[in-house]
Parts: sequence; structure tokens; C-alpha cells
Amino acid sequence: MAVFSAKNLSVSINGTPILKNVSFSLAKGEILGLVGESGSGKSMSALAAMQLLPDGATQDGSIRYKKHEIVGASERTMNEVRGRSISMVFQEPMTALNPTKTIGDQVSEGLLWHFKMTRQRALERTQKVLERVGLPFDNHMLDRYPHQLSGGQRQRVVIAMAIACKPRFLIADEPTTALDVTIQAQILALLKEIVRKDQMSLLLISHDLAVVADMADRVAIMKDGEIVEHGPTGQLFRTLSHPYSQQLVEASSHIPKARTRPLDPDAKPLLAVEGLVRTYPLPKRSVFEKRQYHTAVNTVSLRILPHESVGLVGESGCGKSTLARTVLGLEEPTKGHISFLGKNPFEVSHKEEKALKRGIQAVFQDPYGSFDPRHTIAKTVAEPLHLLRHEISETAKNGKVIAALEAVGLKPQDAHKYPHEFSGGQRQRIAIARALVTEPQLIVADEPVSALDVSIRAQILDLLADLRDRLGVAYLFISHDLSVVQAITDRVIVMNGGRIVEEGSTEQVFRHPKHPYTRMLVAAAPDLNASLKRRHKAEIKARTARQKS
Amino acid sequence: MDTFEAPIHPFRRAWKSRSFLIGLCLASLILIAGFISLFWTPHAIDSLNVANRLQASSSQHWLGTDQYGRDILSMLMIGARTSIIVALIAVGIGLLFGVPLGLLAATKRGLVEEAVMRTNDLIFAFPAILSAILITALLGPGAVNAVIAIGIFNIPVFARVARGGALSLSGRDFLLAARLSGKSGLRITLEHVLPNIANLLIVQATIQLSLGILAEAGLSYLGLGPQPPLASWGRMLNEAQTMMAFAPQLALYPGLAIVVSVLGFNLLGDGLRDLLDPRLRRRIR
Repeated sequence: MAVFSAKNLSVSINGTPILKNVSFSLAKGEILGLVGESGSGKSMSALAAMQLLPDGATQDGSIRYKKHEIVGASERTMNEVRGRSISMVFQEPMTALNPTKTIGDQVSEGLLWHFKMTRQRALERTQKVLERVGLPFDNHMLDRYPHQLSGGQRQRVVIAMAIACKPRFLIADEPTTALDVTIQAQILALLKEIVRKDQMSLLLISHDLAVVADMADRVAIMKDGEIVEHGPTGQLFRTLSHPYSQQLVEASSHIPKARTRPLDPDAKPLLAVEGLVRTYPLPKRSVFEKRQYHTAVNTVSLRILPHESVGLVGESGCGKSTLARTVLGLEEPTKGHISFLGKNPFEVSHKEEKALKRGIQAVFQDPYGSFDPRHTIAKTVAEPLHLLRHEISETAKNGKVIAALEAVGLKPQDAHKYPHEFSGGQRQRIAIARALVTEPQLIVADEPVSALDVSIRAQILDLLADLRDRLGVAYLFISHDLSVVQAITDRVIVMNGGRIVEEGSTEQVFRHPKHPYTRMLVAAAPDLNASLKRRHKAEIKARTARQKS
Repeated sequence: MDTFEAPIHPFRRAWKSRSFLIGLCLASLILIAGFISLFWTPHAIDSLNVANRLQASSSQHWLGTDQYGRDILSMLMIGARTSIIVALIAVGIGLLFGVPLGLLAATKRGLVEEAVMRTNDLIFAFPAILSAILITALLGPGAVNAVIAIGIFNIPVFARVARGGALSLSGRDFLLAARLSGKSGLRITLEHVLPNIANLLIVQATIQLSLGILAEAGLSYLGLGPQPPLASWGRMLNEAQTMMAFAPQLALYPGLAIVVSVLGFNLLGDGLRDLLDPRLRRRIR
């Protein structure tokens, strides 16, 4: 019998339909993966299951936990169900935890409420649960505050809160999206182990097909509030029938066309960085203490050839963004030497500096934060032309803006619109247009596709590859996502703790990683095809075992 | 969604915000009365006509006359003008000095920020009206000194708002993009930061305007504000005090005028905040 089932569930908010006739069910100990792009309604399904719908929502259909109907249940009944029978792991551990309460208080809260046990007993149980989620055993863990833990540890605490009352049904909404790949692998393994051992049912919500293919027994693919396709994982991916799911799978392992413009390995490097060090002063704890420094980038050297595409990979805090800002001239190096087009950007005349700045531009991660909401697209894209302010006429300027917009596949009419009129993918195109408008030789792209849905991501990668060949720009492509870097770069640099640990051609680094850190990174990165292969092998093994017996 | 994704035309929702509408009506009433008084008042108020004193409402004197025989409606209209001009200039002083200081603190950080913000704290530490009394007592009573006294206390208010707004923008990628375009700090502040915090400043200015009106009334009640023959609400209240027993309407009218204008500009400020601040927008949907 199904532990949890939703039948013909429809939800609308202020009259706008968000979910349309969604049905799914989970058996005991089963993992159902719910995949879709942003706005597909996957998070709303989770909120409906917990009856935590936002104001103005109306619902129709039926949701059952075991034999109990949840739709329309009183708040009082739901308070008994939430946390005790159905529980949830949230995406962002920092906001899911209360910064003013200790870990012990937060995890034991549910125990105290549902089982009316004494505080002493609840804390004992809490200690056990924390051990269960792999937090190091020490007596102080209960007394720590969220900010004293790392991101991975915080997510373990969130999981501990969710499983403290031993719910039968667990919902995990993008549980690893905010985490680094190596931590992601650990957290996913932990979730899987808990669910298997305690025979919990898990609704795993994710935008990442690879994660779902690896974890789930069954998968449902959502689009625009509807489940377009669902079935057992292996079978579903083998026989994708809906065009949208095919498109989604294609996009998630999309590789843009290979470069057509050959590289000249003997050319003078466009950018040469020698022994770069960048340190930041840390706040002093007392007046008499000697000031401590944090070394974000530690003796880094790299070269980028004309129209070469170089990937910079590493986890959060490894110094990759600091390196990018220093290369862009936004921050001065503490030590070391940068040479762009043969000149040091920090030691040139004002006029030369303008020329150098024209040669290097940037595309940032957040397609929402990178535009002034009060400037039109024309004004935004024309901004770098400030570097040519006394050199070109207003008409020439407009011509360049239109050319840049057309180069990224936007229309000249779009110039008069405002950023909020565009989708995330279009905004990233505008960001690329802004970077292209001064005809730079090098574009530093800091996580340019991380905030985008997979199908949009594929389009932007295609665009970047096309611009590389058509205009001959070089890229310094920074990302935490190995599959993206693999798809678009010629050479990869791997950073860890402010240092470069490995460097080489993309193929070589991904096929035969030498440094243990790179090996760990490659192994931890979710890969759709690899996990489907693994699953297939396991299925065959199980079948032969069954036949033998 | 992003908190800074302000729509371009927030005033389309204006008619749905009750506080905005009521505030707009009350504030306009005061503004229009003050404006008309520039060209015309029902009666002249600079001549005393004792024979006419303490008249009740009539078709000649709509709100009656005071103990010197001056027309109360005319006095109220001129009083509105005085209050608004004093409060407006005081807000102007606050904007002119406070905003650049706040922006300077936000962009330079470090010692500059400490210096600006701690000086702010120092000014904040004094009760505003009390210090205004001190200043006008030192410099002598009069409209100009009242403006200066009230204006000084507007400076830290605007400095704080400007700094807070600028800091909330500080991590934004579009500011980095502007720096990559070779723009100077001043230029980026003028082109990107100031337009994006304009909403906050407009709302604060409206609220400071109402506080300014109240402060002006307070000062002139104590005889430290604009001097006769210029009419002001505060002094009207003061003069009515001795007549309270047999002519309470003399105190009632200027009192009501103060209440209406303070309430009006406060509601207008609240309404504007609801309309312009996207973080609070959900309240009025």
C-alpha cells in the first residue's frame, strides 16, 4: 500500500494554475525523483504535501498519507502530521536553521512537541540523531550555533531535524543545490542510506537529472505544473517518449560543437599571470592582537593564449572568484605580476589602461543582479563604451550596441526594454552582449550558466562556443560545474585552497586526473550517463541472480 | 524574485493604497492652501482691527476672528505656507548634506565611514526639538534660524538612509560591470546608486516633511520660530492659550491644521513606501 499519494492534485494561486492534475504515489521505502526546470511546480508539490501553501492558494484533488486525507485537514491535525509523519529537508541550510538557537534546541524541538518527552530525554535522542547523520561526536555539538558549522554540516543538521521523529515520508527539496560537489555526494549518500535502512519513503525534488537518476527508484518529469512522463528510473530514461523529457536529457548532457578555429600554441599569450598572491586582512579580535591575513589566492601562475578557452574549476572558497577579479583589474594583487597584451594593467598610463580594459570584459553569474533595473538594455549594453567616450560618435555607439545584441541573438528592438522584461536566459545573453560591445580579446565568465535551467544552459553554451569561433575571443571560464567546463574549454585549471593543484588539457584532466583532489572532484560530480550505466548493470545483475535462484 | 526589480510604473497601483490616497488628499489641502495664500487671502492679517475681535464664524469671516480681529482662515493659510516653506528647506538641507555624506560613507568605508556615522550618532543622541530650541535660543528667534535648526537634524537621517541603501546595493554585479567600463566611483554613484536609492529618499523626505512641520509649530509656539507679522500655527496656539476659556476655537483651528498636515504627510510617506518599496509590496495586492 502506498505510504503517500497525490491524486489529481491541482493548485492555483490567485487564479493562476500552478499544478494541474498531478498524481503520484510512493510505496514504503521508495524514492521518487521529481525533476523539472524552474517554474515547473515541483516545489509547489512539496508544499502541497505539507499543506504549507502560500496565501491565496486554492487546491483541488486528494492527497493521502496512509489512510488519512490531507487536503482540507485542519491546522491542528496537520501540526500532528508535520515533522512526525511527513517531514522535509530544505534547500538552503543557512536559512532553514534559526541562527539564534543551538543545534540541540532545534533538533530536539520536534521531539519535545510530538512525544512530550523530558528535555533530558529529548537531548539524548538528539545526540543519537546527530550521530546518525554523521556529525562528529562531541559533547559540544548540541550547544553549537548554525554559524559555527560548515555548509555540509549544516545540511546534516537539517536532515537530523527532519528525521528526528522518524517520519515515514520525507521530502527533500533540492537538498544539495547549495552545496559543493564533494559535499553533495556525501549528503546524497547519507540520504540514501537513511531512507534504505529506516524504510522511509523519499520524495526527492531536483533540477539535476544526474542526481535523480542516481538516487531515485522512480522518476516523474514535470513541466508547467504537469507530470509529462513518469516511470521506473532505468526504463524511463531508456524509453523517453515525451518530447520535453527527451529535450531535457539532451540539454543536460549537451556539448556545443567543437572549435573550428585552430589554436596556435606558439602564439604570445594574451594573459600571463606570474606568482599571483592576494591576501585579505581579517578583523582583529582585540586591539593588541597582531592582524591576521587570509590568503585567498596563493602563488598562482597561468597563461591564456589568443582565442583559447580556459576553465577554472574549484569548490566555493577556493579563490577562483578572487583570481578572476584580480585578472579583471578590480582588485590589486598583493604580490605577483599580471600581464595582459604584454602590459601590466596596474602600471600603465590612463590612456593605455582604457585600451587594456576594452580588451578584457566579464560575464557574471547572477542574471538578475548584473543589470541596473533602472537602465534600458541599450544603456546597459553601451556602458563599456564609456571606455571609448571621446573616440566614437553617438551613432557609431548605437551601431555597436545593435551589433552586439544581434551577435547574441537578440533583436534591435529589445534595446529599449528594461531588464525585468526578459527571462533569465535572455538576460545572460544581454550580459554577454555587454561584454562583447568593446570587442574584447578575453572574456572572464564567472559561473555564467550556473543560475540557468538546463535547456537554457545548453543554448548559452552554444552561443559562447559560436562566439569563440566567430569572433575569436578567449575565455577564462570559471565554474564549479565540471560538466559545463568539460563541454566548453580547451584547457582546465583546478584550484583548491587558493593554489592550482592541477593543470592540463580538458580531456586529459577529466580522463586521467592526477592530483587526488581532482580525482575526488571528478568522481563526485554527478553524471547522468554514468549513473544510468551503473543502474543498468545493477538491474542485469539482479535479474541474473533471480534467474539463478 | 529580486528585491530591486522595481516596476517602472508603481503608481498604477496607487489607487489601491488607502493611506497613499488619504495622505495625498490631506497633504494637497495644506499645500494648496499655502500656495493660494501667496496671491490671495480672504482678509489682510497685518492690520489689527480690535473692533472686529473674537467674532464667530460668519459669511465674512468663515472661521471667525481672533482677539486682535484678524481673520483666522487667512492666518491659517499663511501659517500653512510658513510651515511648508520651513519644513521644505529643512528637508532640502538634510538631503543636500546628508545624502552625499551617507554615500561617501558607503563607498569609502573604513575611517571615513566611522567618522561620518559616529558624528551622526552624536547628533542623534540629542533630542531634536530640544537642540533646535538651543540653536534658535543661541542664534536668536526667526524663520531662518528655525530652518537651520531643523535642517541640521535632518542631515543624519538622510545620511543613514543613503548609506543603508547604498550598502544594500554594494555586492551587485552591475556595479562591478560599471567599474569594468572604466567609470569612476563618483560617476557610478551618480548613475547607478543614486537612482536606485531615490525611492528610499523620497519616502524619507515625505516623513521628514511632516516632522519638520511639527518642529516648526513647536518652535514658534515657544516664540522661537518665524516672527510676526508672519503668521504661524505654533504662535496662533500660543496666543490662543489665554483665551481658552471663552474662545476655544482659536486653539482648535491651528491645532487641527497641525494634526491634518502631520497626519497627511505621514500617511503619504507610508503610502509611498508601500508603493515604491518592493519588499512591502505584497501588503497591498
